[in-house]
Amino acid sequence: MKEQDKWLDERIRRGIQAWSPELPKSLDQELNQRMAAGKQLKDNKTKSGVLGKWAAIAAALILGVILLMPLFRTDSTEMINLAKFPKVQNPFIAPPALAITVPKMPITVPSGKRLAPIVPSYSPENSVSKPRQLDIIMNIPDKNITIVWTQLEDFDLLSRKRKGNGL
Amino acid sequence: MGMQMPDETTDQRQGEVSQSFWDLFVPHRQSLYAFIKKSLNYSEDADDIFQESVIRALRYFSGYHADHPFRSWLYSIAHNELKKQYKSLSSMSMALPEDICLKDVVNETDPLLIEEVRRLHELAMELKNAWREVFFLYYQDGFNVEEIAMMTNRSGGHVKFILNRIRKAVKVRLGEKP
Repeated sequence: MKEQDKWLDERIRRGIQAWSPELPKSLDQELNQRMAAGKQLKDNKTKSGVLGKWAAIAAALILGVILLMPLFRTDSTEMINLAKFPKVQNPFIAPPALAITVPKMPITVPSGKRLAPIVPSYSPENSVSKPRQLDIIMNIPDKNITIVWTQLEDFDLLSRKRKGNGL
Repeated sequence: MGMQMPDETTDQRQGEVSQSFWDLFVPHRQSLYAFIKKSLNYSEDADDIFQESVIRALRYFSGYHADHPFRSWLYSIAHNELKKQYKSLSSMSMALPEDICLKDVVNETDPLLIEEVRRLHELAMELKNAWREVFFLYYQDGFNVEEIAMMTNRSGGHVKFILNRIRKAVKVRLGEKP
């Protein structure tokens, strides 16, 4: 920029900045009210934020208790940790002589499937006739136990296969 | 006319955002109003445009990034509102307010300065809308060429061209050799 232009710019700037219309008082007042409203909202948020934090902690505690409750539930039925069991070796293994009681609580099998046992008890005598639904069979060799969780649509197939295998 | 701001009571978070906005906005409210008023040739619609700019800035403040100057961002919004107004405005006032040069002038006792202030503002009123904006952004609000180019979606070269043309016009108006 030329030196002459710089001088001219300064002259224009001085002239233009020498006067400016003022913000009307009515507009200024409205802006002030809006600012005050904004501050009030912020203050309210701070107060409710403190309250909200405690509410969130309480809600988390309650939720935690609800979620952990099944673990501490006293039940005559022993909980069986299926993850510890070996995978199904032979789904058509002959029913053992020992009758067992399956857990009443819904369980999650190793495949991630969540099952609710429908047959409360299992014994060789009723293993074929009473289970109405078959889903999975697990063998517990050290206890010589077979646990059956069932799904209705598979039961007929299992029965046919058992007959075919001579079981 | 009352300012129709967004319903802030429905969102607590907006209270904090709103407060941050006002903290940044307050120092610029007078200069922003003057810019809009002058860019619209002292039209009474300037008050509405000012309000609309503030509302829009508040509404979109959550999208503002602090790594950019707040003032440039605010003036960009005002520029967009002015552009809309230029399209809808059939005619703008072509008379300077009566109070110009009679009060608030730096040196009221200097008649030469008072006369020059009047001439410069009259010249600005005769400029095209877009040019007048550039004129005030540069000389009144002190933005540089790059900032003005970004705010008004022009190239830096175009802004320089406008300013050069304005300088020539000013020289003529003030009796200098162009």
